[in-house]
Amino acid sequence: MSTFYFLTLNGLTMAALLFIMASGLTLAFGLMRVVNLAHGAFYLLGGYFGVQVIHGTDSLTLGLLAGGGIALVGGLLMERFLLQRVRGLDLSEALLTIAVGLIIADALLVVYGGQPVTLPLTRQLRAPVDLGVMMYPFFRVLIMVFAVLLGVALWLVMTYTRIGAAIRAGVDDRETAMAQGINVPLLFGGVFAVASFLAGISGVIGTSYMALNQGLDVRVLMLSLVVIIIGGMGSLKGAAVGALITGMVSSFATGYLPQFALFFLFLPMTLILVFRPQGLFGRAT
Amino acid sequence: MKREHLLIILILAALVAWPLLMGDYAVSQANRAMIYALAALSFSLLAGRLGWFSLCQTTFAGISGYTIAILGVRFGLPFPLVILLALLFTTLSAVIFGLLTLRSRQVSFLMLTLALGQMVWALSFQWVDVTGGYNGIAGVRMPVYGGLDLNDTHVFYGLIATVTVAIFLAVWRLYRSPFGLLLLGIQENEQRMRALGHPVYLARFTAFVLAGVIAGVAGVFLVYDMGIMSPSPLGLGHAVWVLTAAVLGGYRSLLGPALGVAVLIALETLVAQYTDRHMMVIGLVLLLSILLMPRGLADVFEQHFKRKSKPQASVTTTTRGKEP
Amino acid sequence: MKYAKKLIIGGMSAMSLGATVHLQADDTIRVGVIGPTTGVFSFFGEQQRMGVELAKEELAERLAELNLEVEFYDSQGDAETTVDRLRAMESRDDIDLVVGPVLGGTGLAGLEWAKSSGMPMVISYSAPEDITMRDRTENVVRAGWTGAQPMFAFGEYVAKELGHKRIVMVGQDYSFPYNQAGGFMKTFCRAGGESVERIWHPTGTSDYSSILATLPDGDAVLYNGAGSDGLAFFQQYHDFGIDARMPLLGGSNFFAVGNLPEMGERAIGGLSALQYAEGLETDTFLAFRDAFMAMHGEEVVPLAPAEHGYVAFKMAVNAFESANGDDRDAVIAALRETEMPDAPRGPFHLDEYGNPVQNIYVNEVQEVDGRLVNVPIETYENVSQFGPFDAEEYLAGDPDSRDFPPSDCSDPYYD
Repeated sequence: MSTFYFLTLNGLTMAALLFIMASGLTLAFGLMRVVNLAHGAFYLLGGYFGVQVIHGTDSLTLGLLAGGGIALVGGLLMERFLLQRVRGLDLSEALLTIAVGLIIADALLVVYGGQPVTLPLTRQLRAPVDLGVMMYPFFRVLIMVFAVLLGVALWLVMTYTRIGAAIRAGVDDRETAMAQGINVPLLFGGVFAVASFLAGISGVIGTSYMALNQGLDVRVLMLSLVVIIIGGMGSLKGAAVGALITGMVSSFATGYLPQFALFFLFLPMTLILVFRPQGLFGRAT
Repeated sequence: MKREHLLIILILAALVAWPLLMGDYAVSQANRAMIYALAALSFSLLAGRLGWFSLCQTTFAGISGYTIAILGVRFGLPFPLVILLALLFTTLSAVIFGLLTLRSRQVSFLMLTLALGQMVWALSFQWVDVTGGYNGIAGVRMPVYGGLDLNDTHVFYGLIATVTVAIFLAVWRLYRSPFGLLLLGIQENEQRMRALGHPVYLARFTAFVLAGVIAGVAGVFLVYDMGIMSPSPLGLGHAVWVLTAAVLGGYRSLLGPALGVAVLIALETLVAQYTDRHMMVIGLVLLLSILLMPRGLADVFEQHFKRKSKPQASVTTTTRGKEP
Repeated sequence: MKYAKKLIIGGMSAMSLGATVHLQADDTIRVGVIGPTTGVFSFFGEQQRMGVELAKEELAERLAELNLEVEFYDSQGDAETTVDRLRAMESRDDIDLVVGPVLGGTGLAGLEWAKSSGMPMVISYSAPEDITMRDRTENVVRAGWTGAQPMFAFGEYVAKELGHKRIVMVGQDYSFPYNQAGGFMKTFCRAGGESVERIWHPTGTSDYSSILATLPDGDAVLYNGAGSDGLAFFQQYHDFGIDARMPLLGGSNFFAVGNLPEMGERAIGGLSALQYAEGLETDTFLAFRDAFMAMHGEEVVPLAPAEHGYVAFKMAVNAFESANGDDRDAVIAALRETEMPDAPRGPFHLDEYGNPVQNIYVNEVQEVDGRLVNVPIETYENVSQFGPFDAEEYLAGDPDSRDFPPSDCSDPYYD
């Protein structure tokens, strides 16, 4: 039985990380039909920079903020100076993000080299805590708690604030929202910045147990895409459910059939594409 | 004589002259250029006609290459048969991918093809018993027919050039056929085409499979050119490279993709003397192409030419439709 | 449409420009060094390049005598690019000998090309055993190792010296770890081991928690892999406290010096085996290390890829000297006779298949002057790529794979 709990907790940890990665991406896509394919590169950027700051200051909080912050700045600059030039041409925007992703990843290779990097965590954070069913490392519990808090916060903002209402209106019908006086481009800039921030911060969080290295950007991007394809592009609820499915399937597959882990990772996505192409919570186009 | 016929003759003359005038390395470079021109053509067929940007065309080339490597080297099937089977298997994969992506469009199509392509890449990496994993499968060679070694750079050049020219001519016809015009119409206004009673889904699906087959042909040459099949041609890097070449050259025109590939290879060769940052160079080329000349080099030159002479029908069937 | 013609011709002549400027036939000897100096694996290519640069400086006089020049090429860690660069070396740049490639896959691609080209090639760090075994070719020799080679010694050491009977091996699912596992098991089982249970995971796995959750019991765990996968495994192995239950042993690259600062003091005492150790104390090694660090900076520790590049280049220069020029057959013959009594890693000579017969060190991670380094605690001399086995018999057997050799040491295969 303890193996079952162990695998479940592992799946939940991964789901939590996936949700942090994918939630911003899916919101930005929902609002403006723009997918940030530099998402993985922002993960790397945030991760490398955050770890560097933690080494320099010994403060985890500062590192998290720095990692999220630098990705936020990157995202804002990209949005302001590149994406806005081709606004409305969804594919051009997507292609621009690919180009920016390539440039950032290569620049990171120059700055940080090709050696893998891990996050220096204190003993207290790494130590296991008793969860009732089993002992589990404290920082992994924190990742789950953070993801839940983030999900609740995003849900509250989306449901009960004026900004949230404006975002929902923009997601539903961009033109009408604009006609009602909602500044959708500005709103989008904000959502895009938050999405970039989350990519950067997940870079720092993920590095607590997955070593950061070159090439991880593509894998992170791929995982995020899988999550939002399963959940439905543009849906926050979808991102949460997609992350849960992907995390759980991946954990149990890795536990019992590690050789085929990747196959099982893609299986839910393929099934969804066959039976419900718009994703679990996506709207049919 | 029509201008486009003159152009065809000039291109053919250049293709014949190239191996006679140039050294071995330039010929092998031209071989690679033609292989990638086919891949970029496959990409452009979807991007230019339908507005569908695919990141899995190199995946089809990879599937084709792996089929040849596995059946040829592992199972020892004879040379012409493996090529047939490779194309067959690529078609089959294109049918499956086509069905999976049929209902998506624009950005979601891009994301889906990215995810599907990366899935196959991951498979090629991990299904070690079949694909040889990271190390790949070595020893993929063409046969020697009575003293004619098909692996010889110049002979190989002849093969690729013939097939490439044939495919480009066929696609040229296709662009001007009712089917080609239907695809453009779908890109303009899908609803209207459907209302007019055109089989929109079938047309899109057919175009996707055709593009897959062209990429499959590129894959056949790719694997024989390298002599080894490994996962790297299926990686995201190659897919983005092909995309960049097509955008640079102009994916709406017939010759744009070939032009883009030639320029990008020349540029890489040039830049490699000064810097190791080739990924950054590809990223910058893509970025600048989209911002400064979204219709690509082919269009830039066509505009330049048109200002000098009266407009005429041209090989480069461009549309004045929406940008991507 | 003339623009298109102009462009095509323009583009082609731009390419041909690149193709013609270099072609010079003269009495200069040219050595081309190829490795991944960009991309994910650039660390290895950079190490090789730095090793060759050191050798170049040390041999400056002899190079001038030979009129020998060196050119560096970037393989980008990609098989296709490797083949393209090799073609450029041969038909554009008039290269007489190739040092490299560095990685497994590019090594095999290079071998494939070398077979049809006939170019003398000294493979440096690339370790697929078939390069000097089942696919060997006259003109290709190796300055480095095969995956199984150091593990022959390690398997024996773990069984005899550590007394472990049952090993749980978690590894990256591809041919290099298969080969490492094969070498390990073939000697481990014959030296008193009982079983080796293998768990393979996809390369690039970053979350090992579920593998650790279902980890079977054994006397020790051996992580058969390296790089960021290895680092993540190490981290999570300790997070879940499994180190208290079973000690963690490493494949040859697991405790690589680049990862040691990230692993921290928990790595101390970690055991692995390689034909190299940055903690060697021999005079030749210390001279090499000091010169290397003086040239490339105090922070840049030379690792096996650097030493192998350094040695491969020296082998090439020796061969040109004894062949008295760049005559291909003479150079190849000289290469195959290579003896390196004073290589930094220790003396070695090539076996008749073209792979070094050399020392294998069992290394322990120790803290020396505030730095974590691999210090040799046991030396196995004259280990060949066939380990203790007969070459012909070894070659007649199956190549190592995911489930070969058998897990159970009582299997008749081991009799």
